[in-house]
This record gives sequence, C-alpha cells and structure tokens, in this order.
Amino acid sequence: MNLTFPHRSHSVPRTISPRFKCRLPQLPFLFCALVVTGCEGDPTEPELTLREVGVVVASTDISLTVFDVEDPSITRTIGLGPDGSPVSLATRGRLAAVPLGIVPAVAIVDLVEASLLRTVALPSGSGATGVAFVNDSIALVANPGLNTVTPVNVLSGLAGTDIDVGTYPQAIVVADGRAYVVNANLANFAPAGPSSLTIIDGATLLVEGEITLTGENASAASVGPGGTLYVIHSGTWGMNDGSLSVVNLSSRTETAHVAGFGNFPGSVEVDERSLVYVGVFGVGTLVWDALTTSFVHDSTTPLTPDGIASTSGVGHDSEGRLYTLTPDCQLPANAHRLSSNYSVELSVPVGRIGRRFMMHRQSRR
Amino acid sequence: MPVFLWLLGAAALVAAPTTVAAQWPGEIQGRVIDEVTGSPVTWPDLVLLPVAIHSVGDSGGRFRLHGLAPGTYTLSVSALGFSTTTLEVDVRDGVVRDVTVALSPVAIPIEGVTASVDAVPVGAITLGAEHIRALPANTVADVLRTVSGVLIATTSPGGPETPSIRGSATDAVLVLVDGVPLNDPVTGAADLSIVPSAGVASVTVLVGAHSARYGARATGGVILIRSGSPERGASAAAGVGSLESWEGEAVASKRAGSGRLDAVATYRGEGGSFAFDQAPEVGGGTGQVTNADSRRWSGRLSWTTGGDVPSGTVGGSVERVERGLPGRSFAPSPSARQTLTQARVFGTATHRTREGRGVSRFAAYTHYYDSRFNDSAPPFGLPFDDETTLIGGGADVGHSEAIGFGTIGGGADARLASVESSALAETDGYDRADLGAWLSASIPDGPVGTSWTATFRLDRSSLPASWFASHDIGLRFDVGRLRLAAGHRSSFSPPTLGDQFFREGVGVEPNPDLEAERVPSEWVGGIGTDVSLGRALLSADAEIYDGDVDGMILWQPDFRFVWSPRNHDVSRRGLDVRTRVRLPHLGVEMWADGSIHRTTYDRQDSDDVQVAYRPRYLVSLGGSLSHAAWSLLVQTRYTGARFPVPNAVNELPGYWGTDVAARRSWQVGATRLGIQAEIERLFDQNDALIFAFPHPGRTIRLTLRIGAQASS
Repeated sequence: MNLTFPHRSHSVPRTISPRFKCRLPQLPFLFCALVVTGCEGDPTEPELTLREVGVVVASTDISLTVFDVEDPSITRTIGLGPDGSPVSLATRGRLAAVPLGIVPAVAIVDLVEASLLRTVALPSGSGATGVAFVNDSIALVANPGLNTVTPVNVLSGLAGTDIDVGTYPQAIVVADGRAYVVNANLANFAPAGPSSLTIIDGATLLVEGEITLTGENASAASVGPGGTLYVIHSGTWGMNDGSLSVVNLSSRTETAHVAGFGNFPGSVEVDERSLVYVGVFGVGTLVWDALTTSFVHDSTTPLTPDGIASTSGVGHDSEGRLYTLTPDCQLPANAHRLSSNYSVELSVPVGRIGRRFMMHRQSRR
Repeated sequence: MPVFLWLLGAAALVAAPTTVAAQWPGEIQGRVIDEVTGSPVTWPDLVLLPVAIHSVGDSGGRFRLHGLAPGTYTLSVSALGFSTTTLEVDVRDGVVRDVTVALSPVAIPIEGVTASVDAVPVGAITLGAEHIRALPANTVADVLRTVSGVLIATTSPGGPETPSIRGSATDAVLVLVDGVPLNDPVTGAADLSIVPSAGVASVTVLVGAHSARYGARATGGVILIRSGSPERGASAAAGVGSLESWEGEAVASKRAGSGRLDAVATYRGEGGSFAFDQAPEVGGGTGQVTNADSRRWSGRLSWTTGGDVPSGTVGGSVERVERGLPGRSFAPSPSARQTLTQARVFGTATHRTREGRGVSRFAAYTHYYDSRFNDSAPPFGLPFDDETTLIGGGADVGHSEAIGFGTIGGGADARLASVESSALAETDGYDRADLGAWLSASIPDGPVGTSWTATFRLDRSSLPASWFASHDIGLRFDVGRLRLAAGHRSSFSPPTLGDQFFREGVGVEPNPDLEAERVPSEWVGGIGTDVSLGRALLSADAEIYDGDVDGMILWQPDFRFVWSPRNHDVSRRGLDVRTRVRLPHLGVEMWADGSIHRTTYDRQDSDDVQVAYRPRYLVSLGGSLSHAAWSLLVQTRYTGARFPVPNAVNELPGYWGTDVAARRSWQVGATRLGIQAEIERLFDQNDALIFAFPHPGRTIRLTLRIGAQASS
C-alpha cells in the first residue's frame, strides 16, 4: 500500500479561472461554493480560512472520497471511471492524480469542482500504480507492467516519454526535488529478489541512481524527519514476512532493515516524532519508533480501531492526528481519527466494500 | 467416467417409445385448419383459460403452449375471417396434448375476437417458430433480447451470450434445451450463443422464481427451448454480412414411421476485427478489436411420435464453438481462445393409464461437455490453458392423476454431473448431484371462478450439501375483460463449481464457504386485458413482483484486490408491462414493453444502489408489417443506466439500439424462395451493456432461403 506525503506547494494550476487565483491555490472542493460567493459578491472580502481535507481512494468503487477534517460529516464522492483498480493517489493544488491500475491511464480530478477533469492514457500494459507530483504540472506515474515511469502533464493531459526504472515500480514519493520510485521487483506477481529505489531528478527527469534494499515487494514509502525515507515491504502474502527499510536520502544508503511487520503490510506514514505507522491487512496498525528502533505496537499488539483488525491506509493531519483506514467487504469502510492514546475519537464513512485506500491531506493556509 | 451416466443415456434411448412426449411440465400443441378446405389457418390467435396464456400460431397454423400446470383448460382459438372456437383440453404433467382445431369461415370480421400477445400476466412468455423466424436473430440470445425483462450480457459479437432475468445473476437463470440444462458446469451461466435460432420450434420464458417446478438455478427464471422444425419439408439458407460473417443452415422435417424426424444443421462464422472509439474514461482515442473471430457449428436430430399418449421423443444434438476472446478494450487479449464441444442425447416417454385419468412420465438425458480456455499472453495474470470436461445426466419420473376437484401429481428428478477441470482446485474432479421431489395440485374450477395451483418441492444439492424447500402457489381469475393473477413463490440457486472451487490464482480466489442464494418469498401480481376497437386488437399485461434475494452471489474484489464470490442480500422488486396493438386486416402489429427492475443492495444504510450492471429500466418498442409477400420489422430497445461498481458512482448512461429486418418471399410451385435483409444497430450505436467491451455498431446481414414444404 502506498501513501504519499502531503504536498505543501500552493502554486495555482493555470486552468483555474482568475478569480480563484488569489484565493484558492490549495482549496479543497468543499469550500468552493463559499469562496465563489465571496469572490463574486465582494472582492475586498477577507480571504476565507481554508480547511484541511482527507482524500481517499475507493478501489472497488473507483472513486475518490473527500472529507473535511474539521467537519467529517461533509464528504464528496468523485467517480474516476467505470473500470480500473486504483490504489494510489497524489494531490497538488486543486488537483489529484489517480493511476487506474488495470486501466492504463491516470485520472486527473479537480478537487475544487469535485469532478473528473480528464483521463490521460498511459502505455498499454502499464498497470498504472503509484504517482507523485514533481511540480505543479508534472506528475510521475509508475508503470509496474512496463518497468517505467511516465511523466504526465496534468494540465494539458499529455504524457511524456517513459523513463526506465527498476522492476515493477508501484509507488513514488518526492522529497527535496527528487522522485524516489519504489520498485517491488516482482516476477509473475511474486517477489523475484530484493526491492530497490530509483532516484529521478525532479527538474530534468533523468535517472540519478538506484538504491538496492533488503526487503521484498516494496509497496509504499514515506519521508520522515531528517531526510529519512521509510519503505515498507509487503513480502509474500501468507508468509508473515513484512519488513521496513530505513533509507538515508543524503547518503543514498539503506541504514536499517527491520523485520516483524506482519503479513503483507501495505501502507506507511511517519509523523514529526519519527513514529512510523504501518497498516497491515488482517492485522491492524503497527507502530515503530525510529528513534528507539523498537516497536510501540507490534503485530501481537496492533492498533485495531473499532476492534477491526485490518488497516488499508494510514496518515496524519497537520495537527499530527493519526488516521487509519479500515476496509470492509460488506459495510461502509471508515477512516478513524485516533487520539494521542490511539483511541478512536472520530470515524468517517469513506467508502464501501473491500477496497484499498490512500489518504492525502492538504494543509491549512 | 461414471458408468451409470452412460447407462442413464442408454435407458433414455431404450425407454423412448412411440409417441410424442414433452419436457416438464405439460404442453399443448396442435394445428388450426379451415373447417371447409382443410388448409392451415395462418397466424391463429390462441387464448388458454383460466391461466390467460396467449400465443399465436405460425403461418402453417401450428402452435405450441409450454409450461402448463396439470389441469383442465379452455383453449379459445380465433382468426380473422373465422369464427372463434373453444375446446376443453386436459393437461397432465409431462404430456404433450396434440389437438387439431377446425375453424368455420365467416364472411365478416368478428367483433370481440381475442387478441394475440406473446406474454401473460403470471406465467410463460412463448415465442413460436414463425415469430422467431421473423426476428433479425442468429441465436436464441437474439430472440430473447426482444422479451421484456430479459437482459443478455455479451462481450463480443461472437462471444458468449448469457441471460439475466429481472436483475438476476446469469447463473440464476436455468436454461433447458429439450429438457437438458444448458448452464455451464463451472460458471453456471448458460451461453445462448451456441444455440442457433434456426430449427427452434419455440422459446418459452418463465419469469421469476420457479424452483418449485424446475429445481436449482431457477431464481431469476427459466428458459425452455424446444427444438423442432416449424414446417414439414426442407429448407436451406445461406447468409453473408458485416464483420466477415458467413452462415448456413439446413432444416428438414419428414414423416418417419409413425412419427416425425427433424434435423437441423447450422454454421456461422465471423471475422475477428472491427474499429471502435475508446472511451474517454480510459484515455480516449480509437482502437481496433482483434481476436473476436468465431466459428460455430451445431446439429440436431430428433424423432417424435404421435400426438397423444403414450408418446415419446428421442434425439440428440451437438455443438462446437471455436472463438477468440478479445478482452477489454483497454487491455486486449490477442491470444485468448475458447474451444467448446458438447453433445446431448435425450429421450422422454409418457404413458396414460387405462382409465385415462392418470399420466406417468419418464425422461432422461446424457450430456457431454468439453471446454478449453487458453491464453498464452494475458494482459493480466499468468498464462493459462484450462480444460473442463463434464459427463452428466439426468432423469425425472412423475405421475399425475385427475381426481374429483382437479389434479394431483408428484414426482422426482435427478441431475448428476462429473466434472474434471484444470481450472478447479481439485484436479481429480467433482461429482455433483441435484435431487428433487415434488408434489402438486391444481383446482381449475375453484370458488367464485378462481383457479388454483400449488406446487411444493424438496431439493437436495451435494455442493454445498444442503436441503432446499420451494413452493409455488398461484391464483387466477377473470373479472369481465380483466385477467387477474397472484402468486407466491420461492426459489434457490446453489453456488457454482467456479464460485466454490475455482483454482486460486493471481487476483482470484474461490469461496468454499459460499451459500446458495435464495428467494424465500416472491410475491407476484398480474393484470391483463384484451379489447377490440374496431378492427384493432389491443392487449395489455402488467406484472409486479417483490422478492428479495438472500445471499445473491456476486464477485467483488477484497481489500487486496483479489476477486472472490460473496453472498450479498439484495432487495428486488419491479414491474413488467407489455402492450400489443394488432391490425390484422393491415398486417400490422406494434408493441411497447417496459420494465422497472429495482435490484438494490440491502444495506444497513441503504442508499438505493442498484446492483452493478443491472439496469433498472428496460424498454422495447417495435412494429411489424406484413403485406402480401413482404414483411418489415423494426424494433428498438433501451437499456437503462447502470453502475459498473457496487456504489452509485461512475454511472454508465442508458442507450438505444434499433434493428430493422425486411423479408420478401416467392412461391414457385412447391418451392418457396426468400430473401431477408437485416440491419442491427441501424444508427450505428456502439454502446454496450458492459463497459470496455465495445459493440461494433451497425452490421448488415443478407440471407437467402429456399424451402420446400412437404405435402403431408
């Protein structure tokens, strides 16, 4: 499971109408109507305070669910298309990019208008999984079926020339102007060797190098304090061999590899305290302290919001509050906001029926 | 291979005696002739009371009414220029009653003559041979597309065509061809694309839950396909059309001994490529479907005897299909192929007691099926080459007896199958046994003019090992010109071998714990009427139903994106409306049918979400004109909006499809020549039921036909 870090850039896509430019650089859709009224009614009206939203990919429904962090009763659902298997997303400005999995395409969503802006075709056989913005207009989309990454201009809807990366890329994270492509190294959908990272310069889109990791089937990564990248390896389903790589981005070396992350972990998030949260299907959320290099909650004592032992996504908001996503096959799935002692303080229905989730947030302005 | 299955088949052949028999339940067949000249009365109108089954005979005056509960019926026969005649017909389970109706010619049109429709409020919808031949239809699937409430799912022009009725899963519709199940042993769905419309005597659709009569897999409905030649004689046809399609058929029917021998052979081949517009939701642009070629052969041979009991039929059929499976538009499968060969041998026999009040029936069949799916380079997952072989058979016995107030009956049946498949987890194979026993009673002349029927059935299924009880209670009565009916039924459909034991692979997982889906309580109510306005004959029928499905089996991905079947409770209710207007003096018939099928997930916080790919609205409009040797048919169908996912997002808009068929025939001595032109999707609509399986749009077919009718 992949989880992207929130993007702090607030630049405005060129497609936004002029009246939005001064007021809505990072506005989630839920505020759209309010700001439009303000802009049109009184240009001198003070800027509205923007809120933070959670954005969730519902894989089965092939949709995005967007909820307001401060008022989770307000949600919007945006269809991404009639077919596909989306499991990852990235947001920037008012846009979200969602690779469609079995459909070789990436959906570009206008979060302000709560609508599908366009769908950009990718090379046939892409398997489109994993995406990250390198700037306001270019998103990199991983093609695990082709061992490449496609740069996509989300504003024009044009796809660029593919970039060769490692084997079976299925996640991308951006840090310090570089894209780190997480290569699972699968063959016939089974691990064929250790995972790796391909480093791409965000400006030139040239490959700078590759880092070989220790674990197998890397599926998600998250950047923590101090320029440290945490890569979760799903391993093999049923083998209970999930693991975590700690990568120093400055030295471009794997500094640690930690086992014990259960059966098929799929999502990872790191907070300001260097606490690493790992979502594990069929288990719950594990917590590992990068400072003490020890588990706070291991696979025998996972966090299980509402008693449901399964987590398909983790994230935290700008207040540092932890969110976990619980999939379900019959009932609505929920995003749970956990308190400092990891008890559930809020649950938000975000989708339905056996789906994988990504979560993304946009910061207050 | 189990020896008993071959023995079963041999028994069917040996037991087939000398006269006509039918599949379960009873039937009436016959011929309408001019009382003075003895010549056939074309297109006679038939009304069967009290069940209000309406049908129309063919151009030779022949007709057949299927799906009849035991009892005494009044058959009303009328035709333009003839007086209406009624007669009493006693129907027994498993018996075909053969009647000849002579109509007296009259000089003026008769006011109040009963109209003809192909639909009934509660019961069967029967399409006769003449009706089928007039349609632009290659397969029985094409025929069923014209039936309100029936939806045909397909993925390519020559690909599998599977029926869904009233929002059911395709594996919850039981299809019997001459009494032999057509449903696939692994998937449970019946592929109607392998049943050509040529040589089909009738197609009967029993809409709704009918397990009480037919056992497993009849929760959505039952489709009864009866083979046989519409005319005695011989005919041959050859056609050519778009998509490089070629077809040929030969049909023959002649007297043989004390019975009749029917033979049908067909071939159809199609090319494998057409252009399409890629949907913008998957990137847009244009594309080319490839690997959509198909070649289909079929042959049927049957011998039937006599017109009354004792009677019998013995026959066999064989089909072979070779076709490509082009896959989804955005992820084509250029090398996926299917090869299917199947053969059936069947026989039925009936015997009437000396007193004539009881009828016994025996029927049996054997079935051989071999299907191979292979793809050396699938767009997803690993290469596969899976073969499934089935040796199966079935038998049923029953007896019905007329008693003072009506008829009672009982019987038992069995369907057995031994399946070996490399697509299933156990390569040693699976043996499946579905056993059932039933009791029925009917009171044709109940209190205050009502007619009652009741059937109770107990089934035992081996996979999963469970008992199932089903019932069907019906009430019918007339109030003036109105026909009213009500019923309460239950039904069940066990999971298929594919659901339970599909070999686990990349992205798919079986569910051995799956339970049968059930319709525990289905209420139906119907109303119909026939009126004449001058020379116009109007008829209208409507039926409402309300019957939730407990544990509908639906395939969905889990949080790992592994697809697996699961039981989901589904709320289901709806309405079917069928109207007909006929102007016999002008040779005009028009129809307007509509259906509302609310098939929604039964969720705690239900938000009225229609089950994926179950359109809520279906509409069929059409008309035909027959004048002298010409006939013209125009029909248009609307398939409503549907959701491709289990939630109310990504809605696919509804679409229309319009077909046109024109036919001209010449009689040259004893030889009849004909030419038929058909245009499917006249306005080049490309929409398809299922996303990413594009329709080729407008296609044209031209068919030449030559036939000679036998003198007898």
